[in-house]
Amino acid sequence: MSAREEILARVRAGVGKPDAAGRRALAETWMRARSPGPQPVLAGDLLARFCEKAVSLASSVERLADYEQVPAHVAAWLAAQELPLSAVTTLDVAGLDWAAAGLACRSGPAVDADATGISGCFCAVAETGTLMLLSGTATPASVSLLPETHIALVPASRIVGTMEEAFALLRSERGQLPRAVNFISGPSRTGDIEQTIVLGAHGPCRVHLIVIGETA
Amino acid sequence: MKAGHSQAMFFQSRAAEKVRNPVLQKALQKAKPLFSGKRAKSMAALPDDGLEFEQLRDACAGIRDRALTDLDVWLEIFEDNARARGAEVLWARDGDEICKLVIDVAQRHGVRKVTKSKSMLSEEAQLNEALAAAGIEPVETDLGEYIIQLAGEAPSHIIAPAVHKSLEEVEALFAKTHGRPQEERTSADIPALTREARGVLRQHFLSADMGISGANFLIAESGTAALVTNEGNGRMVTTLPKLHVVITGIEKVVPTLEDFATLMRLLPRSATGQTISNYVSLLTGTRSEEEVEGPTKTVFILVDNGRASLVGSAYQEMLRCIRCGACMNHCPVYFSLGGHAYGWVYPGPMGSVLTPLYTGIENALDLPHASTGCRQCSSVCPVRIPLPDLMHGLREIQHERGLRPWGERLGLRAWAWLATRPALYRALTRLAARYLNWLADGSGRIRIFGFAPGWTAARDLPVAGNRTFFEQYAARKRD
Amino acid sequence: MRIALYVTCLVDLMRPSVAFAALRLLEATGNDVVVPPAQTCCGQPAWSSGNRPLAATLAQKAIAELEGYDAVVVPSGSCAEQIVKVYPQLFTDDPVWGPRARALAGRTHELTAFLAEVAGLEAVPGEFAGSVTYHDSCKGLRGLGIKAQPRALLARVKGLSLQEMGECEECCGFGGAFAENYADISARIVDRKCDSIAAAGADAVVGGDLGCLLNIEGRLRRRGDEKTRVLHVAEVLAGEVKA
Repeated sequence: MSAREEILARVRAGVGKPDAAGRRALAETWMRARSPGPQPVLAGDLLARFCEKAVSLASSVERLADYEQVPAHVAAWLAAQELPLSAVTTLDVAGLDWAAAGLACRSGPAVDADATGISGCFCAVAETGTLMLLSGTATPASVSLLPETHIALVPASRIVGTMEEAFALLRSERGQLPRAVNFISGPSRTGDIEQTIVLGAHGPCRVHLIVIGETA
Repeated sequence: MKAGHSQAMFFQSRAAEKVRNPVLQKALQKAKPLFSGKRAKSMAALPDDGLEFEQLRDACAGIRDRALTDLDVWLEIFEDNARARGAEVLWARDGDEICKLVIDVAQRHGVRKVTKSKSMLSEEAQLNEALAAAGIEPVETDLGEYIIQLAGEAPSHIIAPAVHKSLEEVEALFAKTHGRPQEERTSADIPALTREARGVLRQHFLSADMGISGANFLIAESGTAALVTNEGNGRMVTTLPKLHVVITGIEKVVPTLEDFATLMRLLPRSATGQTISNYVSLLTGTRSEEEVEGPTKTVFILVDNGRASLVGSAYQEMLRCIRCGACMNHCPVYFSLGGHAYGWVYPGPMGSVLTPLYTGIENALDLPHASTGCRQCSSVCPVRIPLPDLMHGLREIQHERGLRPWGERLGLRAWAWLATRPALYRALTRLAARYLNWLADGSGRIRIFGFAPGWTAARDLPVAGNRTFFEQYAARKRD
Repeated sequence: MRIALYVTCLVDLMRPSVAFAALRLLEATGNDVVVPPAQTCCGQPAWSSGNRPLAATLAQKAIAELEGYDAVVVPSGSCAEQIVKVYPQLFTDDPVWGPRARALAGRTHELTAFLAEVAGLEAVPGEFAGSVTYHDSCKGLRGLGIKAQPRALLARVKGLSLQEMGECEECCGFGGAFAENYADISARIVDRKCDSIAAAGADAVVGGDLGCLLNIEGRLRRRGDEKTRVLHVAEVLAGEVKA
């Protein structure tokens, strides 16, 4: 007997119920019903909640009225951090006029030498102050991972309440999960040496969020 | 699977050594209030969002139970959906089969170096040793795992594997491995040491041919592996190499993304007191043809190694475990010993249940008994595992199989014989009271007591007088 | 109401004043108090070692001699928990002993819970000139929810001030046979408890379980602390405390 058959046989013996096909049909029905667990009641508006939580996770947050203002703000912010005025961007934000703000931007996957990565996001989750990024041809995951600084553009209209709402949006807009969904909540961190929290373990040391526009 | 590499039978001698290790004790003393304090703070904030811990853990336990009571069905749904997205799904009966499957995949793809994100199953299988023996270099990339890999040790905690290591020990390991002179370090240098490891491990990430990770959950509806990390190493390992192998236990499956979202409200809070971990990744299938990064091949290895035998048993509740570490973070025994004394992969209360079940009850006789019965573990468990009751059940099995020491069995039988004969019991307790009082010799305490040498090794035995309550009560009634 | 006092074997042998204190408090509630004469041990040591048949034998004995009362009161969270939580488990499917065990469990109370919640004792006889810190014993706290009751009663003791210690809900390391069989570990745990007690700086540490108190007192004295008094909550409430 193969390992698969043997293990499943053991599991079936333990489960101790007949009619696997009937139980599978019930399971499929149950999955389609999408019963959520206890849901949080988020006080106040989602935008304020998102910003507050993101800051508590050691991200910095800037609010801008529209996309036009983004390149100049990024240039000023990088200069203030004494970081080089260059970045790798995902394709979905490559169309902004970075050059006009004095930024040398390249789009595509990040390499080790990239100091700053700029990405958009699929949506953001107010409950925890979290970004939701989807991997894809236009949105390589390495941009939010390899550079020491990650800048993310977050349209205010794409801030949802919970992870469940983010999944609902994903299902309605994309149908299925991409290869990688990455929920990102602040800079990478570790506490593995004497429980002392250090920002910048393997991923970015800094996360700067630019929230654009107002909630619809 | 039998004892394997378990050292749990040496619990007593290891414990004796650990309580006397000042470096370890200092590290544990420092970690203890941090672990419990952070969790308590995050749980206390739940009502601000209209949530309650008790209600959430009912929901989380319910989700895990739903998966476990039809585990065969959910595994098949997971497998079908994972395959539909291009992943390969393999099954392993035990640790040896895990090693065989991983090495086989690695060799077929000419892999020379593997980067690993933390996987307790790879510890169950002793995969690193097997990889090295096959000429493949395994590199642990979680900072804590990296430290203990350099030290040639096993993790002593499931989420803080190097909690037992001091700053000085880390400095010595890094100096030796990274080829630099050793320096005097203070806690202000911890960011610099972290950065040093980041630089070294970054090169490994970029040059590895294969990534190995565990999975916090398998999501059946989409055939997805969920990976929860803070450092970002999990993302590196699953993004950069061309080949990704996920090794995970068969019990980790949950039905839907909604279920996963519910569990995520308690997992980080229970583990580190975070409302959410820095990176929560949902990994499904392989990269598409147009994509320029991500693995071209994803392999799931679904592992039994003792789990299937728990399904439908009196210990099925143990399979709910989501590996948050809260039980050990609140265990007075764990914080007196650290994890290594437990002798196998999983320490603390969950280990005291899992080690006997997975490696043989007769090979871990101390673990179910090395508990004060304080129930702190079950009061914090996010999936309501009745850990003390499960430990108790294992004690009963030991008794039924005649595995308890003869002195204990005889003593209890004599005690019960006496306790069911009240007149004789009264007479003997009167004698005992006089004997204790004589030993105390007017000092109100006994310093060395032959009947309880363990007790008086570290404490006095307070003695109140030479007459029992029933003796005095009878005298009062007569007056 | 006829109340049975279940003395516990440890109190009988090691600290009779706890039972006399409990008697005094129960009598202050205006009820009839009886000490069933044949009582011995509740069977917890057998249960903890995994010996279910022996635990059941001792449970049957205790059920038979305690079931004739309106209430059974125990000056120990640990022994009360054995009767309330474990006895019904011992006889889950037993048509005779199951109902009897469940009935007894429903009428059995830890002392402070009985005084505060069932009897509604308003005034307590005890006086204590000084500060105390309260150790929450595990079985009472997490098994029976004993937390507010002893504190509410202690607040009514004239002269007493409560000075909470850090981690008052943390185990003291007693655990019955654990303290003997795993003496090294137990000593390490009770040392942390003694550190918390010392840091609180109270005149006395008070608790509701004699096992824990013997463990704490024994370790405090061995560490050279001759000053901090170690008292059962019943002793303090009843004024059974020698100056």
